[in-house]
Amino acid sequence: MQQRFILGRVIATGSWVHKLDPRAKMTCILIYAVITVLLHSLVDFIAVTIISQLILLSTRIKLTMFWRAVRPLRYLMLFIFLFQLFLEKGGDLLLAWGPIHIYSEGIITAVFTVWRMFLLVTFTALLTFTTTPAMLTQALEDMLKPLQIFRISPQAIALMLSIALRFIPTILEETERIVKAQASRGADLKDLPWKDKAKAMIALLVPVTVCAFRRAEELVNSMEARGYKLGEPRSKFFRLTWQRQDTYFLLIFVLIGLFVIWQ
Amino acid sequence: MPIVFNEVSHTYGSNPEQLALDHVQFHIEDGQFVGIIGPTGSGKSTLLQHFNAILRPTDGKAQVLDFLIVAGEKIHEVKRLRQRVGLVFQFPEQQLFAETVERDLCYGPMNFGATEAEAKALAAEALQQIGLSQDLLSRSPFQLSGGQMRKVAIASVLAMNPDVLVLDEPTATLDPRSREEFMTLLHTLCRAQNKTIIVVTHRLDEVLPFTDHLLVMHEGKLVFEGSNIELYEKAEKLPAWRMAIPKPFRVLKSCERMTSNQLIGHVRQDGIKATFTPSWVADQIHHLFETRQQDD
Repeated sequence: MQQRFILGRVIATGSWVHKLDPRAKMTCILIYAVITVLLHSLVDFIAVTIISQLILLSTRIKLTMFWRAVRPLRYLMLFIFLFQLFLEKGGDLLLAWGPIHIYSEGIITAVFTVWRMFLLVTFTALLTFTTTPAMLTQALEDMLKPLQIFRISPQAIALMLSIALRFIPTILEETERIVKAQASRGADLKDLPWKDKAKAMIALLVPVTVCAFRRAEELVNSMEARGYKLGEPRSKFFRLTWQRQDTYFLLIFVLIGLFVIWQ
Repeated sequence: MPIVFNEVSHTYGSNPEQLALDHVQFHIEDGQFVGIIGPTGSGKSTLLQHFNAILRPTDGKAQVLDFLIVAGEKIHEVKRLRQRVGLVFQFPEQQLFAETVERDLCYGPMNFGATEAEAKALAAEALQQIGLSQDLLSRSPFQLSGGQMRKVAIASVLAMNPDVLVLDEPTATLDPRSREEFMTLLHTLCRAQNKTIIVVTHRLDEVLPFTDHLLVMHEGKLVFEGSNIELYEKAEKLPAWRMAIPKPFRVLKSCERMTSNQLIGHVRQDGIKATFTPSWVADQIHHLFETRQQDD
């Protein structure tokens, strides 16, 4: 179960992207996300694809690893593709077969939408592959500082996120054990019909939830026992420093953005 | 029908180079009380999940009761195998989910096609076997104490009336007294109902008094198979397998040295069942000193 879960796993290769300030990376991903939405022409798409894949290559992580991050979304992407294909009605009518009408615009939008998702997902994997969760949450805490004006504690959000990330593998492991225990008692999820699968899910959900709550309580107690209090000042584990490479990295994205807007 | 493992190996998909089980071979007779011991990470839990085909061998074959499990081949009627081999995982109390104890106990039997009345009868019987009061049946499992929850969870596997009961560290986190009570309970189940009981643990001393057969695992390999007295003979090897020599072993070994006398010959000759309980150890010490005086 854990093997399929590719996001949230750091692959250390010590490349220049790994060494960048996580705040720079986060800002760039945000800009990148905006760029992917703004893409319109084929030239834009090709240019951004080449640049983004080149940046991914420079992490010295295999490109296929990034592409694999798209895999969990394949059915969603397929659905969106078909949705656009059948419902977009512009351009020339290419095919009419019973109730199905496919227009040229439909094909273009469908391809572009899926392409957009691919670009976005592969690139966001860059953030999780090259940054440890601890660095990530600290960057997030820094970047959310402006929210303090609205009395929202960035520390609380960052803490929630880091705990959530930390517990994903633990809860998956626990779930796997409970699935095995249920299978031992004759409820093998794999060979149940759909109707019974839903029933078996309840048998799974209750203990997993109970476990998660129990763990959360233990965690809170142990954190408090070691003197943690939300909102109190405490020393940071990493000191984030903004260096010249960070500015360059940011510049790349600003330039791509400008190029896409001017096109 | 016995349980026979023949050159069984297992590798996990996440780590194909390392053998979690390395050509394991052993033979367990019907109605035996078996202890599988070994330090953490020695492959005990991997081994135990092979008993009811939750994990399958990646190489070799295993005969469990009348089911033959061969690497890469499909097993017929896995469900029936799982009914006959009850597997209790670590911290079973964390797997309780139903609103009442009775429903949780009925879950297994009903999965195996028992009617509601049959399941309820099995549930009541299982609860009684494990030594809990019938009043608990209507309670929510989440209101019970830790020890009761664990017993209920084990009863929920017993309710399927398996021929073989496999338990993974059943006494972890229990206090010493409950631990002993618990082992005695399992031993009674084994003897009174002729069930094969397989207990996986890293505490050798707690299973010593009960076992008919011991398996010692180390780094995925089976390094010892035999009775407790045979293990006593090889006790000096235990540290190499990353395990401490249990206290009764150490006491008897030093008495053997003091008297320059041998325990083994006497135990073998008289056909005494070695239990390594305090009173048995005392008897043996007495015997060691007695026979030495006769030699003088």
